[in-house]
Amino acid sequence: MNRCRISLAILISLVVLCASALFVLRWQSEKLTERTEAVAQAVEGGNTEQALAGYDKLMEEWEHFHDITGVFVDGTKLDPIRQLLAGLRPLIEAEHPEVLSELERIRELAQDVFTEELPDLWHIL
Amino acid sequence: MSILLIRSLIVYVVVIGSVRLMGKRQLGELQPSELAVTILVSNIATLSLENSDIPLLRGILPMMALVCYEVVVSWASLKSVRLRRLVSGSPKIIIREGNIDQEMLHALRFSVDDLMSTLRTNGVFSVEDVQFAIVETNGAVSVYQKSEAQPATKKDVHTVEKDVDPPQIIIADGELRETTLAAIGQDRKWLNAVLRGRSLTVPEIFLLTADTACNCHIVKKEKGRRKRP
Repeated sequence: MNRCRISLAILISLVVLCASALFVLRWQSEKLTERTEAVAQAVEGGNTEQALAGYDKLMEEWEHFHDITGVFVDGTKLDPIRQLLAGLRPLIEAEHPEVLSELERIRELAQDVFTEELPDLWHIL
Repeated sequence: MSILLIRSLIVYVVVIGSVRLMGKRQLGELQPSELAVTILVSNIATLSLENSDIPLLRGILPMMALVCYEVVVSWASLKSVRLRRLVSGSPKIIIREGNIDQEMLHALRFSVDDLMSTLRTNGVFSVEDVQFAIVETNGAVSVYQKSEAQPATKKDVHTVEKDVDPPQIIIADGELRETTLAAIGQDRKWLNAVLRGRSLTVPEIFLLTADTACNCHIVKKEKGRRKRP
C-alpha cells in the first residue's frame, strides 16, 4: 500500500511538473518573441542603432531562454534559433532586406518550442 | 565528460529507486507487464546517457511514470480479479489427470518439444507420471506428479521430526548481526560462550549460522583476512 501511495504521489508530481513546464515554456517563448518584435520594430523604423541595441538584449534573452527551455526541450529544437540569431547581427548592420523575415522565423521557432509541447492529439501520436 | 559522469550517477540512482519502488517481486519471476516495464525502463535509461542533447528530465520522467503506472496497476490488480486477468492472464492447465490438452497447447503455441523440455526441467521424464501441468501467468510451468511418482517424504516413512526454523546468519564477515541473534532467541552471553568454547572472536569468523535449537555452524576467515581485536 505504501508503494502505491508513493507511486501516486510521484505521478501527481509528474503531472504538476509537466503543467509547470508548459507555463515556463510559454512564458519564455513570449519573452523571446517580445524582444524579437522590438528589434523588428526598430528595423522597420530604419533605426539601426536601436536595432543593434535591441539585438544585444535579444541575445541576453536568448541565453536565458536556452538555459531554461533546455531543461524541458531537446537541444536540436533550439539549434535553428541559435543559428538564425548568430547570423542576424551582420544583416542588421548592413540593413539587409532579409532581416525582417529572419526575425519572423525566429519568432515562429520560439513559439513552436512551446506549441509543440502542448498535449495535442497529433503531437501525442 | 563530467556532465556524462553526473548524468550517469543521477540515472543510476533513479533506476535503483525505480526497481526498489517496483518491489521484490521484480527480482523473482516476472509477470508479462512487469517484464515489459523492466525492459522499457532499461532502454529509456540509456537515452539521456547516449545523447547529451536530450534533457535528463526526458529520460527520467517516462521511467518514473512507467514504474508508477506498474505499481498502481499491480495494486489495483490485487483488488480486482477482472483487472488481474486482463493484465496478467490466468493459469492454463495443459495436462489434466495425465491427459495432454492438445487444444490448449495449440492455443498457447506450446509445441510437444517445449512441453517435454519443461517437464524434464521439472524432473519429470514421462508424461504418464504427471497428474497436472499448469502454465502460470509468467510462462513458467508447474508440474504436480501422480502420487506413485512423487518422491517419498518423511511423513510417508513415518519419521516426522519437530519443525525447526532454518538457520540464520549471526555473524557475517566478522560483523555481528544483533537482530538475527535476537530472532533465534539468544543473546550476546550465549554467543560469547559458544565462541569461547572454540577460542574464537567475532572478527575472526567469516560465517556463523545458528537456529532456534542452538545448532551452530562456523566458518573461520582464511589466514591473511583475519583481524585480531
